[in-house]
Amino acid sequence: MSTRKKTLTIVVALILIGTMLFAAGAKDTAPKKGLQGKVTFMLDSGQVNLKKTFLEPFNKKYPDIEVEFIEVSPLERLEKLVVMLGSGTGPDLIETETSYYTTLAPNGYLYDIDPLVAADDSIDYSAFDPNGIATFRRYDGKTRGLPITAYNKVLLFNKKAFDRYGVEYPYYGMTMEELLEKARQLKVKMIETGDFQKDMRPFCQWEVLVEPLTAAMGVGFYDVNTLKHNFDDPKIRKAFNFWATLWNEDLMIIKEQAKAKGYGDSYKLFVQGQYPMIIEHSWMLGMTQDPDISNLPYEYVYDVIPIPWFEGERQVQPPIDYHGVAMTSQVKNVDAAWAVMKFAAEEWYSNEAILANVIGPVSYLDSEVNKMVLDEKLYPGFAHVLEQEAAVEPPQIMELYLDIVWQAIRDVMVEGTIEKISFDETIRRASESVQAILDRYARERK
Amino acid sequence: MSTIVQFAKDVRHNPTKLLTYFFLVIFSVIMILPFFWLVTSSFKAPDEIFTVPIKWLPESFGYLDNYERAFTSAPFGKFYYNSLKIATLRIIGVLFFSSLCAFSFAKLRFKGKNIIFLFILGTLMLPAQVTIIPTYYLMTKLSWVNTHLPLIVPLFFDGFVVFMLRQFFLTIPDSLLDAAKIDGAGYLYTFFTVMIPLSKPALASVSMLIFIWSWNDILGPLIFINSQHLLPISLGMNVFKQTHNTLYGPLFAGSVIAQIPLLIVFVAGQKYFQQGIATTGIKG
Repeated sequence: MSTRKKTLTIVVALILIGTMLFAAGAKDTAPKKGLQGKVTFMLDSGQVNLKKTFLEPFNKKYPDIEVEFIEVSPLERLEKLVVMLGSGTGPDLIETETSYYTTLAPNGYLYDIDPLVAADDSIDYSAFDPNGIATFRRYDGKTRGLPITAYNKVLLFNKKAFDRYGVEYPYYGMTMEELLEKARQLKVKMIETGDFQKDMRPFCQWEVLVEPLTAAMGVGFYDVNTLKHNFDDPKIRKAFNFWATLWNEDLMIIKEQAKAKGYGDSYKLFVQGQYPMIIEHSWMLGMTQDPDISNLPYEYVYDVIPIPWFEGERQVQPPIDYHGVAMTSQVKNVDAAWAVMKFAAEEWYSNEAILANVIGPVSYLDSEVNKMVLDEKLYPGFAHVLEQEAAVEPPQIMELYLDIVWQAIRDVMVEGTIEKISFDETIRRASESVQAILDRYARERK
Repeated sequence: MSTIVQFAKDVRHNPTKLLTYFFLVIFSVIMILPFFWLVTSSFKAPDEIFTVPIKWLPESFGYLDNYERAFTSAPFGKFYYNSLKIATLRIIGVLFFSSLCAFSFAKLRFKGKNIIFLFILGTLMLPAQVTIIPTYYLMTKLSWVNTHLPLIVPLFFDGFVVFMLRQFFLTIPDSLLDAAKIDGAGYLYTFFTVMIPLSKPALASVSMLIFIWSWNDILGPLIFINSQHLLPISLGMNVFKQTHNTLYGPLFAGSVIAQIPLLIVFVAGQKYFQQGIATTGIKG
């Protein structure tokens, strides 16, 4: 090899080695203290709109903190998070849920925020759902997350179907094994009668019912005993059902069609296919993947009971599945991350918790809500509200309802500050606010 | 028609071929059925998709709501562009760097050549999941996370491609290189003027394989990309998979749209694809 080529080779090799060493030695120059710098926040990619709502007020309050959102599909979030944490470059904050917590906390990936709360006068745990706080303390008694939303699962079962096939009804307190046994009994009977092959979706196979079951609504108005008592009251059940379906705008179309078929105010739950039983999140009681209503079984009326999940005698799932925001142990600037976390939990996410927990109580406390949204004559009266939100034709009831609740939330939360109020007080104020809005709409209708 | 005539002749001469053809047809149908169901389901209304018994054909192929929703619910054009960009740059880089590497292993003599080549082959044994964490760490330090660079640059050096091209280069007679050397050509000149023109089939095979792998890659984009506007189409379709619900109709429509470039590439380069498999015995 000529001298020139040798020299060139050596120079290239030195440049490559130097680049690698330089990169390997590169240090993160972000400040480690103070309310400044960048905070990375991993969350569900579906939260984009909420993210935008959060950023503006946050940047106003903390102009020197830059929040970088890492959006991931909820189905792959844990996979990506594990790689990031495993490489020592995890995000500062994450949107977490009960299952994540049970994976991350024992492995030391979640930060204990008790000292931060103790040192901060502007926040305390009374502002949050106490069951949610307890959930995020389950591992070692230290708080490793702030709850933002609660998801409850219930068992829906069709009494007519159970009567038809001669299987005893499910009951509160039964174990998963007992539930699956009932499912198997149903399947056997349905096969015997030839019903099993009629319009049954493959995903309704009884063996698929292995999702963890959680006790329904142990929060606020929906403790177990209250629920059991109130479900004897058709008015309560109706309101409960209606509340749940507000989360699925497709069902508003179904509602319209149901009325066209003569069902009137008699509200029924619609679930996908003709399932005698289904386990679902309580707020998705009527969820269907098939918005086309032509094949939906209007004649099926479902009853709902809360079911805890047991393996034998042991309860293996908490009553409620909580989603929350948590700080990871690889946080780079605790001060800045705590500011974001606190703001998100109290200002942004707590609104969702209110939505989940207030809409329900408000619905069954005030059946005017039900009357209002079921009465189609009222729709034009609310059109002006939707117009402000660039309404989509036809008016979507969920948007309307959310508008009411958001307005209530704005009344509850003092804009630009984080007011210290208890969780129960939050609900009470939101309820009052919604009532005031309903009164105003009622006056406007006149 | 000529195929049928040929088939009839084959069977007449050798009746056992009928059995062979029968099994081939059965397996072909089995292989193509899922794709057939995917395409027809993309034209089905939501309640038709998962009916029992299965409905193989939609009520009407004029039901285009799923396609409309696929395009309007997600920035499909952006996803397409990202996928094309990543695949194209990766192909260019792979063809350049890996072919140079393969050439050196095939035609040059230097100390430790065989051991180094064995190391390169050894990297084929490592699944991506094993190296993803250190790779992510490296990309973080290079500030390449949330860019397309981790999906392109590290993959310029692909052990499988080096192996495949090396095998092909070995089939080119050394006399051609010797002739070029006698004429005063250096290694690089020989590579670009002699080896490359003769290696078009192999390079076409490599390009096709890289395109398919890149287009279908999910793990890389999932780990290295944080922003939706940078996602390729393989991961972009996750917009239809929500936390508690999957919009199967638009998902299927999106999948069909996403597969079109692959089908075009495969049909156009089928000959080269088969050559590639034959050369290495590896489908990848």
